[in-house]
Amino acid sequence: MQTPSPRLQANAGIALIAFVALSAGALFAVLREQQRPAIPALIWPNPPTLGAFSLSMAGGKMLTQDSLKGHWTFLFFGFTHCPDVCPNTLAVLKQTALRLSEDPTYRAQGQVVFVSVDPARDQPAALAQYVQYFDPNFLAATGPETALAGLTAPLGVIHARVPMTGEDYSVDHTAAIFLIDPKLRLLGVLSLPHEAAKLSTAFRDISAFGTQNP
Amino acid sequence: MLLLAGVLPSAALACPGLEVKGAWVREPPPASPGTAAFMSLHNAGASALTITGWRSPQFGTTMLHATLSSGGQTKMRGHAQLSMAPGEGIVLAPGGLHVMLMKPTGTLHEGEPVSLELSCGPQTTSFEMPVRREAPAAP
Ligand SMILES: [Cu+2]
Repeated sequence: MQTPSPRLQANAGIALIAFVALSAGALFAVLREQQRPAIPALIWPNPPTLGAFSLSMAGGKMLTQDSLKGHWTFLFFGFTHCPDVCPNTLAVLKQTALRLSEDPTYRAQGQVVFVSVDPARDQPAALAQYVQYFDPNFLAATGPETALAGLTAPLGVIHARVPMTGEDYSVDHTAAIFLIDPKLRLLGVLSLPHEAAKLSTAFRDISAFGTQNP
Repeated sequence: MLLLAGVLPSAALACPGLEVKGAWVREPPPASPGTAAFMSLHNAGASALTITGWRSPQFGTTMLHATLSSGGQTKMRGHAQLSMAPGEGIVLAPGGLHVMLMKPTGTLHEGEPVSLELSCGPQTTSFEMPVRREAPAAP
């Protein structure tokens, strides 16, 4: 076997330097990535924080920012005249709550809140019956447009009435599930399709991250 | 005997070649004014088939709707008639097409039958489907 020519050795040297430089670059990229972990639904850095709002629940109770403080809240917007996406999502949230029943954070602080963006047809008492069909622990609230805006505006939730034949109207609405942390920070936006496995994994990852980054 | 979710009674005037499989109705939660039915349709006939109407004696309003989701928004719209070429099929499933059932004449509970009538021009195919609390597992 011949000894490599000086030229080949030089090339090998350059290759080695290039390799080290690339590895260092990759390492920096990995370190940077650790600051913003690979949690797909996570809103980070600078998550928006909810301000004051006040909505009506059954029995004359109110749902306000204080109802969310100290809790990890799955928040979903919809309406009861919605025969497909809303019951489907609430059924998935019920399965998610079941999957998280052994998770210490969810056990201590988890809750699910359904907000109707159709206050004209959804009365608080009926809304409570509607969500409790899925899970007796679920909360439901609604309120006039101005009151709804206190919650929908900071989250970027959109809703609009659309006339339908055969019934009065339907409501187009944002289908995402929002995850609010105990300090009212919006830490997660979970988009369609909603699946219990995906939601419970996101909850575990985001609640762990939020707890480490108060 | 009730014929649930399944094979159709073959009536002489039924829609030619129409097969309906896995039909079910979502149990409406209390306080909800209606619900939706889902099923798989197949045209096993030799010519094109168009479903022109939907009717259930248990509901005041029955119509075909589509759930459309884009850009994080979800919406429901009326859907025009369904046409299937020979050999073609269409699936009505949560998050997509559904038969919207509004203004029920009575209460509906899991396991109870709902009858539905599909018309294709002058002919109609009638069948019953069960009320289910949860979507059946994908086949
Ligand atoms: Cu519909």
